Amino acid sequence: MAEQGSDKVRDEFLSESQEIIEQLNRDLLAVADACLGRDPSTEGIRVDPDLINSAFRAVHSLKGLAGLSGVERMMHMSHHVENLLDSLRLGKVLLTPHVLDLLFEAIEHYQLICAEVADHSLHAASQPSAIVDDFVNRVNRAANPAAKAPAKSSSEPSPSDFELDPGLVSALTEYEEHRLKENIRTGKNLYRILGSFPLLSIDVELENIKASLKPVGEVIAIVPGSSGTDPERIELEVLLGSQHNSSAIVGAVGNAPAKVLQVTKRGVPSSGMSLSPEHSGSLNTQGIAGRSQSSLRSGTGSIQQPSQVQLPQQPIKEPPPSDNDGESDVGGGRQEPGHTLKSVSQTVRVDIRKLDVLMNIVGELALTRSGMQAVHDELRRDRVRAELARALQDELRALTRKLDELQAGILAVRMVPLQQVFDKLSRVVRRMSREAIGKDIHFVVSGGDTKLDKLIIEELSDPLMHLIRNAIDHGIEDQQLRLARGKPAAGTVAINAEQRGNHVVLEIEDDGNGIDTQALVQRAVARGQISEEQARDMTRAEIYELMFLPGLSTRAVADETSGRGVGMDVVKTNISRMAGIIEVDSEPGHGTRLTITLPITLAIIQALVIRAAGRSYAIPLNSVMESLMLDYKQIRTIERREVITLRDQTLPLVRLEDIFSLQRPPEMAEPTHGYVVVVALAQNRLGLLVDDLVGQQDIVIKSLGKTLQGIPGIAGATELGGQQTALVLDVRAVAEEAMPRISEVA
Amino acid sequence: MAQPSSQGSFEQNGRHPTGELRLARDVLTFHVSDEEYGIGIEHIREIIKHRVVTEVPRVPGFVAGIIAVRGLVMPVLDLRQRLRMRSVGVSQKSRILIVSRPATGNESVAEEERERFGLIVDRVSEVVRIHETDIEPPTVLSGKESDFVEGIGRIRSEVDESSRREMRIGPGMITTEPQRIIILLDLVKVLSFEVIRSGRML
Repeated sequence: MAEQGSDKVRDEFLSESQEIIEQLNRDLLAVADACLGRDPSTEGIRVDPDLINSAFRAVHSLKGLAGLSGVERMMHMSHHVENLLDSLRLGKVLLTPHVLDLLFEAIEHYQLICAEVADHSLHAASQPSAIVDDFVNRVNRAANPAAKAPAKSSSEPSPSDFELDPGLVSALTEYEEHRLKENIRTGKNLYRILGSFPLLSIDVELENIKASLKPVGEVIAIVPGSSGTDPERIELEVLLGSQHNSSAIVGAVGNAPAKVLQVTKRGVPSSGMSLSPEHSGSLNTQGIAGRSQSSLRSGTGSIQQPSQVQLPQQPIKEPPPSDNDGESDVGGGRQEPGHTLKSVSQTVRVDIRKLDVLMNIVGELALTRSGMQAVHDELRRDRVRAELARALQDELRALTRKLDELQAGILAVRMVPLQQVFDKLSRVVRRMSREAIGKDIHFVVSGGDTKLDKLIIEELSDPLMHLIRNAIDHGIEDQQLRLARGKPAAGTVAINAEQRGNHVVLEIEDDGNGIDTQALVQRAVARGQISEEQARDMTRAEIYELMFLPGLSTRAVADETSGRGVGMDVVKTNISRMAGIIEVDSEPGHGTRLTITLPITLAIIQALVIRAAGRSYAIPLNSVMESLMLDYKQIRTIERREVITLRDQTLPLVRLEDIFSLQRPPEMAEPTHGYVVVVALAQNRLGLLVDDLVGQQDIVIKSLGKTLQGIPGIAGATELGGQQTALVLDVRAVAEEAMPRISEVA
Repeated sequence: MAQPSSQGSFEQNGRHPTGELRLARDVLTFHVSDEEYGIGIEHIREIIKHRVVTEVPRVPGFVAGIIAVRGLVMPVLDLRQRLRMRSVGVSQKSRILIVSRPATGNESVAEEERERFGLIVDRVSEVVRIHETDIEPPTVLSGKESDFVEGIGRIRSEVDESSRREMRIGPGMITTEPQRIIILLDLVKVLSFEVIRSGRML
């Protein structure tokens, strides 16, 4: 099957590009953040070039990846976006809101291309597309604003006026060179900071030195220094522009094993002085001597000589730097040694199905363990072997502990921070608030570091997106109305995530209109989903529940054009598919809060094992509110349906044996008392009447296989040990079936 | 498993890799009620002792429930009921045959990924080789049972003269004893059935 090979390539491409696109998104959001509060209309905005650089790298990686995978369209587009970013960081183009929009638009095009590749094949996106071409044209227009670049004034000072090694200057990237010129033009002092760093900790050291230098000046470039003799260390040279004097720089470098040299203007004698107080032998003095010698020599010996002439000769004339040049050219990333080293990243991408297999094995090991426990119990009865039994018990305990750790370890691998989803949401909100006329949205995100199972995260982004859109479209009023209501002009939409035990609670809150219960009820009546009679005595909670009926979301009421035609019913279905619960709370005129409670992982869930009619079932604990013992004499009936009163509220009861038409084994007497397991279905509560509670345990849900999959009320099966299997209940389906009013309409 | 005749499968594979020229097949035979049935050994994954089967609601009566074997959950069919015979309890000799759904048409699902089923049988006998020429089409039968019958295999007696002598009843009488009849099951049909499903698929 030739298809399989290309599928693999495609999957690789998709997962990798997705990762980069997410990174790009984060970078752009950071850029956008940096622009906040500044007035773009007058002069455009200068942002930290590091941010632009990071975005540039992401686009560049995408270009490379697309080229490698033959996704022509993405490659083409990346090329032009790259140009735009390049112009930005060179300062040729100013960062205006328009440019920022273009960059964000790029992400959408990237995602469209990915979606096309995912739906079809890599080839699908090899053809040009009119939409992308149009986008590329707009990008190009932005990148080359009417060629008004001023002719360089020849009187300005240039790098050649400084005592800089032309070899060094020629090694600078276009951007670095540009920054060097800028620093010279603005009359900054130039410094070279020479240091030798252990290869192993180069990342950290480099970050440290960059961080300590940032306050005193601009790091123009970091280039490899002269070749060191120690293969374990790497020599680096930092080129710094600063308005401070050299002692300030020395102070900033502090204890770092580095030496500061001021680069003087030509004509002034070079004052290469060792200022670092404690370099304690970690400096490769020989290398540095060679290097400064070379810069001195080129400084004095070839004042007027253009660097291009000297460069080719350099490898022959000056062995130390040439070695170095050769090395970094092979490495291909000379301007960013830190970056190239980082790419030896310690992360591994893993197909989540492989983790499932591991999880299964852990489950089986646990079963084996309980088998061993049984052997132990047998052994213990034998007095002669009691000693042996005790020893075995100790080993078993150790095994249990390790198994738990193994399981926790595998689960931890599946966990991803919610920030990924939040980043996507921020982008949508940003765009919407620009598009929506008369609405200013303040989007507040918190708890992005809360982690959830990767599978849940994937499933979550669409529902969340929809809820946020809803909040902006229908929740937040337009500015006039808000002001009239005495609210701040900008509407706030907040999303917060928080872990509570084995659950993650997501709250989506807005300070808008609140839900119009009247309109909701009228609409449900008009559509025949509830009768007028029913409408009269509905609780607020029941009314909110109407929101989740198909075709009844408020979206359909208002004249909304954006969106992809999914309603709140789909949101709810998606969430309950992940064993989650969504609750609504709203105050008319003041806002709405949606609370989504999700399990942290789907792979292993906590369940309550119960017995009913002689059979065991597992009920996912996240849908269990509480359980209580019940004397059956307390059961009352309303219209022949069994209910009890629980804390002054009527709780409808359901017997599993009725729902599943189970035959009670003949030897089993009709019970006189049992337990009620109270389960929650959105705002409804329901009591499952069971014979006995066996206990709580972690279970691995397994599919019943193709043939039996999808039986209403059954979510799957699980092994309880001792070759015993139990069905896992789908509480939502059971409850819907038991409560006709909801099931009729849903 | 009773002597899975490696020599036999060699002959089978060696002579007719395409399956076109198949001259004989190796079949696992077992008893359901007092009839002897057979399934090609290539479909049999494992034979396990009878164990507790977890009942599943809302399925046809012949689905006894589910079991988990080596971490895999699979439906178990009571073959008696599936073949429309009266169900009796399990005995010491009851076994569960673990089979994989045969590939149909030109689908190419890896063996490991095919759906597994358990079949409850009353007793497992042995693996026998049946020659194609000894297989009759199911048309000789009529009635519902033939729905699941792929063919009827006969095994010629290989008993030696001495036992033949013992069987001789009297002059002029023909004995049919040495001929064994094995009902070959059409596994695809046995394993195809529908259950009630909810709209939501997990």
